[in-house]
Amino acid sequence: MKFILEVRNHDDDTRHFAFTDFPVRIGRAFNNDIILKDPYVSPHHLRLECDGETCTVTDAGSENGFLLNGETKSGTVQVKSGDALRLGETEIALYAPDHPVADTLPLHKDYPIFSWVAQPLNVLACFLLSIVITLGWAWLEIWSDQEGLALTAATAATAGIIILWAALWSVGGRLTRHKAHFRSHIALICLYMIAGTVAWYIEAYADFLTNGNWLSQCVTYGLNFILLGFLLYGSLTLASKMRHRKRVFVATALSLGVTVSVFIFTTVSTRSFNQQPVYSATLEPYLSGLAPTQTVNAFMADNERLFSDKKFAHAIATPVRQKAPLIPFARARHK
Amino acid sequence: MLTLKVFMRRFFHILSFSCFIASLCLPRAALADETERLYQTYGNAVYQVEVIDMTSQKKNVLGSGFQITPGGLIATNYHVIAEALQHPSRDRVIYVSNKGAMGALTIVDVDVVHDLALVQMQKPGREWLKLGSSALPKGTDLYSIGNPHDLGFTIVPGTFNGLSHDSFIDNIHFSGALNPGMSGGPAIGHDGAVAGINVATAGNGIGFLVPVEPLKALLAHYRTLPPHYDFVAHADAHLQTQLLASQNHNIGELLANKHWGSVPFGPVRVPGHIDTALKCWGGMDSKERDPFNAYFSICSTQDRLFLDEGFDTGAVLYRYDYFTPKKRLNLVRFYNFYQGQFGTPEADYQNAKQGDVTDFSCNGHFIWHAGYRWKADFCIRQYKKYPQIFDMHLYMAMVGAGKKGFIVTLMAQGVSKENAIAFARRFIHEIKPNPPHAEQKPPHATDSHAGSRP
Repeated sequence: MKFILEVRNHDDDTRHFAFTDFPVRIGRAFNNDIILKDPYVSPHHLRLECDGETCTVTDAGSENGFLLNGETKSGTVQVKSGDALRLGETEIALYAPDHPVADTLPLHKDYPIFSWVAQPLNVLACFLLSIVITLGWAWLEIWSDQEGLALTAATAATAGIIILWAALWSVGGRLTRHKAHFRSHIALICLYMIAGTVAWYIEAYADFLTNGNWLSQCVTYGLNFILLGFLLYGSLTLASKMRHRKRVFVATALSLGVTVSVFIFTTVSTRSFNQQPVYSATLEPYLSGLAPTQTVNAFMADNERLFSDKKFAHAIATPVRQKAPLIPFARARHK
Repeated sequence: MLTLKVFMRRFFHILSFSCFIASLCLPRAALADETERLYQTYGNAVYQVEVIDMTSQKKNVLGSGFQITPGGLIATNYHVIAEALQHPSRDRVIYVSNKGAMGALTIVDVDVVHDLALVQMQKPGREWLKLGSSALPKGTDLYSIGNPHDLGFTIVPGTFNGLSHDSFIDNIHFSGALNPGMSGGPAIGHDGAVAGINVATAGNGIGFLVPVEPLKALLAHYRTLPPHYDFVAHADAHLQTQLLASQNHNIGELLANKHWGSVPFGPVRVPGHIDTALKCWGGMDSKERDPFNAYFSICSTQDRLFLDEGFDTGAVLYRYDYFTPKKRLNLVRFYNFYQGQFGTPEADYQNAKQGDVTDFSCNGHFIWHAGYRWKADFCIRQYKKYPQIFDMHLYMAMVGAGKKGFIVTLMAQGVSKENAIAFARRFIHEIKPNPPHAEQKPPHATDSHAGSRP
């Protein structure tokens, strides 16, 4: 009968000992078979004996006793493969040579969704679409003489960012999971850019509907949080060894961190005094056509309510008792 | 403003000195005798008024003033003593006579609208000037006394040229060389009666005087105040009352005008020259290489009401910008550019600093008006010391009119809630379809075109 003892000290260092000769003496003294440097372990603490198919553990007169699978025991108890003993700060697990072990974790795995996206045609489509979107934005803004040059520069910059992003993740994936998934990363960042554009229009429309109040702020921050969360989750899936739960947690935490940072930065920077009015200036013709319209009277009624904003309540005038009105020294105007 | 900031003194010295020599050489010989007589007779009632920073004990503002009562009341400009009134713990006011005698001054009343102030001497001087009238024939000789650029007391001959009618407040147009530092000094006739108070210069011998009548009214108001009244402690409330009355007068005058001179501009008819207190001009705002044409028309008041260093109010401005794209700008690109224009307001609000006003609060919505959809934003900010006073900003961009952009800007500084609303409402209603019968309305929008006067 062969038995393997897995000894784990309080620093989580694990050592394995295989024994065929019994009894096995465990303790702090140097004449033991297993010597434990643990101040809570007695010089002669335990004795392991095997007789045929049954094995027993006997307390060899220890000071602190021992636990078997978390329960305090004394005297001689029977043990089987897979049991865990605890003496002092040390844990000892007992295994028979044929004790089953956990399945191997895959270092890399093919996920159906990513393998579909990673097909060359799909990657190309995503890539071209995001380039077209960037070109579109640039084309809206630029009307100089060097239009062609500027648009080329914008295209090159976008392509560069996409490839750099994918390359960095691929290197990470190659190192940790032995697989780069370069095409999937390209597809992922491109999909993120496309979804971001769609989100921008949703935000603009929410802004029209809600007059830029806290609700449209929620939509803006919420959408960006979700999109970034998905991007990070996908990238982590491809490039890290994390388990599902940890990936969800890390992606959520990172995305939340970025969103909250942007929110705080925006809030702090708008809290300083601004001489010019800040208002919603989005006009997007196709969206604004769908936005609700007011009558002038309804608009003016809202404007009147603006004066009761609590921000304007900070100072109340002290009334002045005046015997005679000072102004106007209304001289008739000469026309 | 003729106020001379001390830190600019060295800079101005040489230039102002040469001006000073020139103005002495110009007058005819006979006039020189009369000028000398007037200065000898009345010059002793004129003082230099200085605002002193209490920390550094340095002159912060220099101006002039003149005694108007035997009791030692000195009249000067509000803008000369404004810093001492607004920051009483930081600045104090003193006078210096032409003999070099000095003494402290107490601010006892101000008229911020006409830029006048009354300050009290501790020990009255022996001479004072009597207040005359500004109802003079054009061409009357007037003599302005003051202390330009801290160079010493000066008398400047000039001519009364009637009242200027290009602002809400009429000032005397004085043809004479007023210079910084002469603010608050008197302009007297041959009989020594004050006709006006030096207040501003437009350079090239064009000066402006506050007529003496508001000073008489201010004196009368001062006499209604209780004895030993601490005016400085109650200044904010007094100034707010004056600002409220002033904007009631100004905006009231605009609203009282029945016809706002509706003119066609771009796709609509808009208010034209609505009052003589505003000056209008316009033109093209785009260059040949721009892919769009931009035309603008703007009307604005010319003067501002000074409240404090870096803080003035009272401006009224409206502006129209009309954009059409040239060939290579299609609708989508045009709208992107148009949106950029709408994002940068054409009116600037540099008139107040952080301590003076709150941030703007805005209300924005799409409205249906004059046959078009507009994105309209209405913004206000409050004056911290005068909580009933606001700066108002209305900004409207026409949308959905194809390759046409039209932006309306309306700015009114220092107005009450009621006037801000009434002025904005009237202004929007004065924007009319062009031609008049082309107005279309969606069935759900019911607009009343009833004249909305306060």
